[in-house]
Order: sequence, then C-alpha cells, then structure tokens
Amino acid sequence: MLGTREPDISNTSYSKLLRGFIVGAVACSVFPLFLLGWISFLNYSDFSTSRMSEYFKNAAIDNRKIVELFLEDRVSNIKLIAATNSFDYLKESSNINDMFRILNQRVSHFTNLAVIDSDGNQVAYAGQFNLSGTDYTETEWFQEVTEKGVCISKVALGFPKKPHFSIAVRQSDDREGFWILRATIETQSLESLIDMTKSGETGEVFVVASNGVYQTSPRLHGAIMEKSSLPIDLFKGDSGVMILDVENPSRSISIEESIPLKYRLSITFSAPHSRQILAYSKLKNPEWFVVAKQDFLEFFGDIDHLNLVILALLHMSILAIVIVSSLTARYMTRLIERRDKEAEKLNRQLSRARKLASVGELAAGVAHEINNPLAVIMTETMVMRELTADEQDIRQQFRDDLFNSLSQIDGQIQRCAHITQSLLNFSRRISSASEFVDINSVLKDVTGFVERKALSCGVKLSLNLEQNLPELKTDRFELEQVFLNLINNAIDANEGKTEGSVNIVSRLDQVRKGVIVSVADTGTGIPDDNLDRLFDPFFTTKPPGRGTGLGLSISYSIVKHLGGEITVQSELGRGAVFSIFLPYLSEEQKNALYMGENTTKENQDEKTQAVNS
Amino acid sequence: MKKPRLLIVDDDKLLNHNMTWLLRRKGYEVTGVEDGESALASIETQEFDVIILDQKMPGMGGIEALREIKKKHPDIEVIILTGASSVESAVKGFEFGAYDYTTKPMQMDILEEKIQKAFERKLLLKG
Repeated sequence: MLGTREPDISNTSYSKLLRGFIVGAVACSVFPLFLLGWISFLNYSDFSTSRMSEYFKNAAIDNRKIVELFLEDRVSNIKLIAATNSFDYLKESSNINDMFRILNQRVSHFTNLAVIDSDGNQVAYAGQFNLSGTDYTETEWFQEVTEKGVCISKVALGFPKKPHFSIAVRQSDDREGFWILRATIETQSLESLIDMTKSGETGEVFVVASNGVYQTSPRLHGAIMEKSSLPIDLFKGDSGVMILDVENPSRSISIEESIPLKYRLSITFSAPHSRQILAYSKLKNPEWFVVAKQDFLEFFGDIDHLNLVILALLHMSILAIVIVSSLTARYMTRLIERRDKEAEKLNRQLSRARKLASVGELAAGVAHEINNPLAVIMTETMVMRELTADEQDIRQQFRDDLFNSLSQIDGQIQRCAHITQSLLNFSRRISSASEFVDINSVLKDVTGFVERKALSCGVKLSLNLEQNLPELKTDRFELEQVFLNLINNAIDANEGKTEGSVNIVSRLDQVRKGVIVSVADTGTGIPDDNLDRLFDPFFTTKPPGRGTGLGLSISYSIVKHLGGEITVQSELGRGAVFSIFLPYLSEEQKNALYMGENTTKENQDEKTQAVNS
Repeated sequence: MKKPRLLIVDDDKLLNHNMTWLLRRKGYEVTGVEDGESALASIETQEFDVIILDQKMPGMGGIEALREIKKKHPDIEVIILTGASSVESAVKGFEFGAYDYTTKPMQMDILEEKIQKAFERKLLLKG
C-alpha cells in the first residue's frame, strides 16, 4: 500500500487555532474577572455613597439639634426672667438694666431686652439703642407671640445694623392680662456654633428660612438676609439628602435610598463641578432649615480614589491575562505546528518505507521469475556453442560472428542477473550480523575498491577521517554496500569535469551520539525536482544501461535498517553532499551488550531502538 | 577420473533439458526429473552421486525434497539451485545438509566445478 500524504495543515488553520486559544482564555478568565470587578465596584460605590450620604444627612440633623438647643436655651432664659419678675418691677429702667446685665453675664450676644405691654407699647428697654415707646401692635412677631406665647423672629438687620433675631415670650398677668418680654440676639452667636462643623474646602453649613432667605452667613456663596437659590420646595419631610445642581437648582434630585448609578459613575468619571451634595434638616420653630452642602467630587473624593485604584488594578490584571494568554497561546500553537510538521515528516518517511517494502516484495518475486528464463537462455547459448562446435561445414567467419553474438547474449544475461541481484538485495530484510565496526576502516576499504575507477575517470578521491571514532555496532557488509553506492555515484556525478573530486569525511556527532559520514562531489548538483524522488526505487538520471535506480533506495533502506539517517544537500552547479548518520552505543550499553552477547535478536533490536530514539 | 552420476531436479522443462544435454556431453551420466516426488522415486531405483536440486518448485519444494533425500540417502551430495540469491535460503539449505548452492542464471563451468567438488567429498567420506 502506498502511503497517502496527510492534507497540509495550512497557516490559516493555525492562526484560527491561535485565535481560538486566545478567545477561549479571554472568555474564561477576563470576562468573569471583568464582570466580578465591575459588580464589586458598583456594589461598593453604592454601599459607600449611601453610607456617606446618610452620614451627611446626620451631620445636618446634628447641626439642627445644636441650633434647636441654642434657641431653646435662649427661650427658657427669657421665660425664666418673665416668670420670676413682675411687669411692674421690670418696667423700672434700673431693674431691666440689671436683668440685661445678668443675662449677658450668663449668655452672651444679647443686644437688648425689652418689656412690652399687651397693647404693643414698649415700656422698658435695656440695651444699646433705646427705642422706648415704639408701638409693635402691627408687627408680625407681636401677633405671633400674642397668639402662641413664644416667637422667634426671622433675621433682620434692624437698628443695630447687625443681623439679629428676636425671641419674645408672653407672660400672663392678673392685672394687665399679659405682657411680653422680648430679647434680641446677634446671629453671629448662631453662626459661631454651626460654623464649627464646616468640613473640607467646599463644605458649609448654614441656616435658611422656609422662604429661602439665609439666616446665617454661608461660608462661601451668598450673604445673610439674601435670598438663596436653593430649591427649598424640593425639601421634603424633616430631613433629607439631595444632589444639587447649582446651575439649575430645579433639576436637583432627592436621594431616597442610594445614589443613582449615573451619579455614582460620575464620581469616577468626570463629574461637573456644579454638582453638590446637600443635606437638610428642618427646625420646628421657627421654620428654618439647617443645610449642609459640599462639592460632590470633594465629598466623594476618597471613594473616587479607591475606585480608581480598584478599576486600574482590574484593568491591569485583565491586560496581564490577555498578554500572558496570548503569549501562551502563541507558544502552544507553535508547539502544535512543530509537532504537526514532525508528524508529517514521520508520515512521509513511513509512507516511503511502506513503498519500499511493497516494492521490495514485488522485486523479490520479479527477480525470482526472471532468473529462471535467464538460466534457460544461458544454457541455450551454451547448447548453441556446443552444436556449432560439432558442425564442421560452417564457415569460420560465420562461426566467429555467431560466437560473438552469443557472447553478447551472455553479457546481457549477466546484466539482467545483476539487476535482479540488486532487486533481491534491496528486498532483503534479514537481520544482518551485527559486530563492532570501525567506520574509518570500512571507508578505507571501499575507497580502495573504487580507486581505479576514480583514476580512470580523472576524479580525485580525498579522505578526511576523524581519528578515534567509537566503533559502531552494525553490519560491515551492508555499510560497505552503502558507501560503495554513494562513492560510485559521486564519481559518476563528476563526469565531464576535468578536475572533479570526491571528498569523504567522517566525524563524531556528540549531540546526537553517533558518527556522520559525508560524501561530497563537485558535480552538477541535484535539481530540486529530483530531491524528493532521489530515494525512490528505479529512479535514476544515469543513461540506460548505466544504473538500475536501486543504489540509493537500497542505501536508504540499509541505513534505516541500521537505525541511521541519510540526508542530501545539493547546490546546483556546485555539487551534492550525501550525509549518513549512524548512532553508536554508549560505553555502558556496549558493556551490557558484551555481557549479554547471547541475548535474542529481539532484545538487541529493542536496545538499538532505545539508543536511536 | 570417474564422472559422477547426476540427478537434475528442476520444474523448468527447458532448463532441465538443456542442463541434462550439456552435462551428458561433458560425459556425465545424467537423469532429469521435474519434481521432488519423482526425485525421491528415482533415488530408490537408481544410484546417484550428486543431485542438482531446484529450490523453488511446485508441490514438494526443494528444501523439503532435500530433507527427504538426506533422510534416506545421506551419502548423496546435493547442490541447491536458487533463483533468489540470499543468505537466508542458502543457510536453510546448509542446515538440511546441502553441500553447496548456486544462483540462477548459473555459469555451467562453475556448476561443473561444484559438482566435481561435491563428488570428491562423497568419495572421501565413503573411502
């Protein structure tokens, strides 16, 4: 059976394989990593921003409590004075001044203290600006305090030209019905309280009335008494957190539980500076809001930093995986490609060996069948000779011509016999007698055989033999045949050249553990087309009658049989070099062989194979 | 010198005939048969000194015939004629007691030489 060649695996299928490897590796590692990374990133940012905005809201609530406590304290002070002193007593200028002094000793920032009767007339006053006799009947706070008992007014500039607000309490009186004690407090005192809680570069805490007017001075933008642009109408419930769009406050959004994804992503990726986080908490009386706000990016800056580190690490590891997996994939693909090529080479060798084996069987049969008729022809020529010799009447000239022709026939029979003998040699697969052979001595012997031929062809034979080569366990007779073939071919290759030469070299191959013999000629070289068919049986470029086309294929099968390798290199016009590699046994294996000289042939074969592989 | 009595065993009629003819002309007493069975029959009825035995024959092959001949008449020398010159077949022949072998197409003078030598050996062993 002649071996069929495996279909060539083209380069495109390797790049397809490479792509498959890379896509597989990336899909199995990068994709889950990417997913995991982003999920944890989003979850973490959700969790952290929620916690931070909750904290921010609590800061607003805390500030509100401070303000409430402050106000309650002031109210109770005033209430205490009103309850413990009679209207008549306080009407006295010296008494109210005493009270004002005591009050300011205990709690600062009161700018004045006034007693107002139920008709709205100020009857007594202590403080910087005496506004005795002023009628307050129409004022908002008078109506409120009359109605509710306590009134904390909105901030006003008033006469002191300093922002202030007033606390008024109503005190019942049997005689008068009721009277009112009213104190004015500088807003500054409130500001100094909440100002302490400011944070960061852009953080500020302030109080704003329900109509949007600042009740304390914001640290950064706006001023007390001015109307703010805060979207107070969006403030829902007692407290809350919102994302404030400074440029367009109506587009601000309240945060119910967690900050929407869009805003969370914007922390890491380019948030506009006009965005702020805002927390508010509502006072019950008066209707004020304590507001804390800070630049969105500054507030979440730490998260942003951490997120960037996480994302950078994530993408760096993805990049590393991609690089490593593509390098690995490339390496694997190359490995597979190399293995494929090796397999293909082995396949080719196997198919050649099969071809040779089948040709060998055929050759043996053919040789056998041809030898019989050849024997008949040979005996026939002898019979003819004998018969002619008996005949007396034949002319001498005819006898000579006939004998001449018979000799020609004999010559051709010998030629045929030579061909069939070659065929048989080729097909012979018997185990040859293995002995330790000195390659150099074989080469010298063979060169001796062909010296005469070389001389007559005008070809110079040169031997370059490396001394002290290890002896090879092989078949001397078969090696002689191979070398004879190669040297004969080399001499023939120089035909037509005036100064041809054949260089025979032997040397040690330490790496592959063997001996290399090369035979180089200075002939015309071998065309590429012929290189592939060189070792095929019956392939010859010699003229008919000169070569059987079996020499090289016999040499090939012998070298293979001996566990070696035969290769050829050729350069057109410069000649060809045939190299034979023959493996040798290590000292250890040699000893083992000597000791078990009577081991079976199979065992020896195994050993030889083990050395070859 | 006394010429040996020969038995030629070869299935190729022409070759058998030619060899017989040529050797008779040389003065040998020659009998030709075409298979192993006839050869075994012949040696029971006639006396031979040397047998020229083709290795490859239909029916009983050369090596088998050799075994039988040597079993019954170990004194008769046998020269194997082989179409395939291989150490293998030769060794097999020697194993079963063949004196020598020659390959086809054989040179008649070389064959004659081998016949002479075989005959001499036979005489020597007998003597």
